[in-house]
Amino acid sequence: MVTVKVSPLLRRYTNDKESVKVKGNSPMECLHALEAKYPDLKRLLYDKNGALLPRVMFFVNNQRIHADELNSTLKDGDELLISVAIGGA
Amino acid sequence: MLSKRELARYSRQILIPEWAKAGQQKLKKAKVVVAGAGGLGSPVLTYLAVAGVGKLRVIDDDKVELGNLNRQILHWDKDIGRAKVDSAKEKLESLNPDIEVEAIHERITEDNVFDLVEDYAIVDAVDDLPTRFLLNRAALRKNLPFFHGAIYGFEGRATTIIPGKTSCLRCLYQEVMPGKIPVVGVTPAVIGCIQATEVLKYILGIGELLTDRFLIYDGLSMRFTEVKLKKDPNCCECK
Repeated sequence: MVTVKVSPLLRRYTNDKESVKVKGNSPMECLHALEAKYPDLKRLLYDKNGALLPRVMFFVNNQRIHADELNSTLKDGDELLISVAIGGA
Repeated sequence: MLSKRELARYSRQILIPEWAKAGQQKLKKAKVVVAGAGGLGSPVLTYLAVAGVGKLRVIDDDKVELGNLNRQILHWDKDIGRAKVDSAKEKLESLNPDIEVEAIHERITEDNVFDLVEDYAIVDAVDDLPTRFLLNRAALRKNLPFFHGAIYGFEGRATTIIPGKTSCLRCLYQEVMPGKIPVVGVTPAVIGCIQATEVLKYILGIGELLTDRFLIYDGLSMRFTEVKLKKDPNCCECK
């Protein structure tokens, strides 16, 4: 199981849960598993064509991963943080 | 040389062993440009001014509105309608007449960003991504430190970018949450103070900077999370 943590902005879509354990072999699989539990998340994370928005950020074991790593392999016990980029000042 | 007045003004921070008079001299010679005189810019400018950063250049093309005043603490009710940079300059000079404050009431564009930042350390306190990217580019091309901050509601983020050593802002972001940003004043206060702390540490050469470290602040749970950043191999700016 992978522990998926969501940033504060996303918690309103996960019943205020900060972390959820899911089954998934990659960051994208884990995201899909999370969406299966909390479908409202999709509204914030995807465009109307179903493409993942560039504002979504992923961190595996507190390390940023980029677009080319979204299908990389995760191990049991790994932590995945999903966040969205914010730009207020 | 620090005057008697300066030594008195900064006496309490000079007591910090890593700071001392030598550190205060470094601050006096330092030049920092703060892009944005709003929610983040207000605390950044305030704390850099009172710490004694010798030259502060503040850039903003906006005017003060009533809706700014829940967070943009450099601007007061009497300043509504005024250019933010003029309002900021007035307050900063009152806070510390011993420093130089330059107000530039201009929009940052591709054509002027290099001249506007010149050779100053750059604080990113603007609220639109294209401008942040311009500043990032200027920092990279001119080899200038870049102190980034961003907020949304009770959430804030900060990181410090050193060209040639860290990932850049383009590695970090491709897009941000759109629309009118909800914000309460205490959030940019926290993040602005973090940015100002980073600037002071950089100038003084002390402590550990938020380089390739992304600090995520959650005011609601009152927790800080830190994650590591790395270069995006496909970054169009710094690869």
